[in-house]
Amino acid sequence: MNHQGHGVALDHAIFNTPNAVSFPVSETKERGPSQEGHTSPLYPDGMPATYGVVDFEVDQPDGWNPTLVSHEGFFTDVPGFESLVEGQSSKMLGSLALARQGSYFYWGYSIDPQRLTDPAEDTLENVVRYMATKRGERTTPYVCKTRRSLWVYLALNRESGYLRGIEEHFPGSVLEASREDYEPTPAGLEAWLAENLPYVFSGKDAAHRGERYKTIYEVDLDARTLGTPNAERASLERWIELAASDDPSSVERAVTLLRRYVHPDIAPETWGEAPRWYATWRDRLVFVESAGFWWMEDPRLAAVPR
Amino acid sequence: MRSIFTLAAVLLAHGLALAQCPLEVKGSGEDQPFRVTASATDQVLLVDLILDDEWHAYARDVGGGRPVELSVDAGCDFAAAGRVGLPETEGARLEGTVRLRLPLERTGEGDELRATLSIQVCDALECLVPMTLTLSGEVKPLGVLLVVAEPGARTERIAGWLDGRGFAVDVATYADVTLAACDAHDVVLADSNVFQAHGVDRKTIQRFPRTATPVVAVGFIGTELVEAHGVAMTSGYI
Repeated sequence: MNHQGHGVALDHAIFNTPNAVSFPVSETKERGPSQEGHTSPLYPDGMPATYGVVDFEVDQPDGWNPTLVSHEGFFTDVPGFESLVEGQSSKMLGSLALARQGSYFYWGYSIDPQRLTDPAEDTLENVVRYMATKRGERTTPYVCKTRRSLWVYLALNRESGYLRGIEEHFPGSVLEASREDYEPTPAGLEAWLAENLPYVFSGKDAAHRGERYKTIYEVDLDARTLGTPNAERASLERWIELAASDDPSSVERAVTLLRRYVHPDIAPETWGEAPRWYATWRDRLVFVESAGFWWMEDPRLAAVPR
Repeated sequence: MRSIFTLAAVLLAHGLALAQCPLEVKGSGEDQPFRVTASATDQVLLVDLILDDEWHAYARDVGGGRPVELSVDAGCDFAAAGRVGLPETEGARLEGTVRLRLPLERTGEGDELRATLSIQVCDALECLVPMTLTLSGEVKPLGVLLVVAEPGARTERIAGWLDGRGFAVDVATYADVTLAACDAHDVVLADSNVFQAHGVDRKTIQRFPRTATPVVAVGFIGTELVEAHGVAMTSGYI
C-alpha cells in the first residue's frame, strides 16, 4: 500500500484518547474494481462510489508499505479483532493498515517522525497508550487459513480474469476426495462453493497441512449430509440434540461432529450428556475458523478452570 | 533515550512494569463502612470506592449527604485534564463498587501525584461525618521498549519523538532483544523500514520473544513477527 488510508474508525480510542485526532481528507477517490460489490468490517454496507483517503505519511514511501490482505474480512470471527484503518492499494476491500488482535497491534506505516503526518503522530501516541492497557489480552491461536481463501479465487477471476487460482491453487488447497466433481473453471468453482463452502473445514490433522499451500481444506460430508453448516449455532444445537437421541446412527454421526468441532479444552469426557454440557457452555462459545475450525471458549471471557 | 547498554539497570528499576501505578490512600481510618483503592497512569486517576451493603454515597447533591469530590492537589506534577467521571445511577446514589475516573495531564518534571477525595457515606438512618482522604504516589511514564534493526539516525528520531510524547524509552535491537527486556516494559514498539530495506533476516524475526507485553508491530518486520507468534491477522496475503 502507499502512505494513505481510508475507512478510518474515528470513534475508536486510538483516534480520541488522549489526543483527539482529526484527519483531513487529502483526496477523493473513485471506488475501484477490487472494492466494488464487497463489504468489510469498516464498510459493512459496501463502499460508496467515491471515498476519501487520509495521509498517514507525508508522501509515497521509498518502497512499499505492507497491507494485510484480508479479503472481505478473513478474521471477523476472531473475538475482539479490531480493523481500524484500511490501506490504500489495489488489494481487495478489507485489507488492513491498522488493526489489533489480542496484545498485538499492526501499524502498517512508518513510525519515523520525519515521515508521519501530524494526525498520524497523535494516533501513534494514542496507539501506544491504548496498547499499554492490553497486557495479557487473550486471543485465539492461529492454526489455518479461513475458508474465504477458496472464495477469493472466484472473486479475483471476476475482478481481473485471474485463472491460476481456479486451475492450480484451488486443487492444490483441497483434498482430492473433496473435489472429485470439481470442474476447474469459474462456473465450476462457483458451483463447488455453492454446494460445499459452508461445510469446509481444516486445521485438524496432518492431512490438512501442506508444504506449498500450508492449509489444506476438506468438505465435511457428515455435516453436509445433515445440512448443518459447521459454523452455525443452530448446527451445534442440532448435533447436541442428535447426540442425546435414541437413534444409534444419529448419535454416532453427531458425536463425530461434536468431537470434530468442539475444542478438546472444553469438551466433556463423553458426549453422553451433551445437553447438560451445552447448558454450561452455551454463552461462552465462539466458532473460529483460523483457530482450527473449533467451537471454543471466547478468549475475551475469563477462562473457566477445567 | 536510554541505550541498550544501560538496559539491565533500567529493568531493575522498573521491575515488572505495569501501566497502572498504585497510590497510597490515607485518612479513611478503620471500621468504616467503605474502602478506597486508587491507581493512576499519567493519563488517568482511577479511584475504586467499595461500599459495604446498605451503605451509599452520592454522585451529586440531591439533598442527602455531601456528594463525592475528587481533585488533584496543587503543587504536584499533575493536574486534572477534565471532569470526574462517575456512573449514572438512580437518585445519584453510589452503591457497591464504584469507579471514579479523573483525566490527568502531566504538568511538572517529576512523577509525584497527590489528590484529595472527599466523601460522606450514609445508610438508611444516618450519614457519617464527611471525610477527606489523601491519595498519593509516584506515577511513572509508560515504559516503551523500541526494538530496531540497528541503532542510527532513524532510531534517534523515533526515540526522541517517544521521549517528547512523555514515554520512558529503552532501545534494543532485533538481534539482542530478550524476553526479560520485553516483559519489563509497558509496550514493545517493533520498528521496521519499508520492504527490502528493513535489514533484519526472517530467522531473527522468528526468534522474537513471545512476551506478555503488548506489541505494536510495524511494517514488514511487524507482519513477520506477528505471523511468527501465531496471530491470525497475518494469515492473509501481504
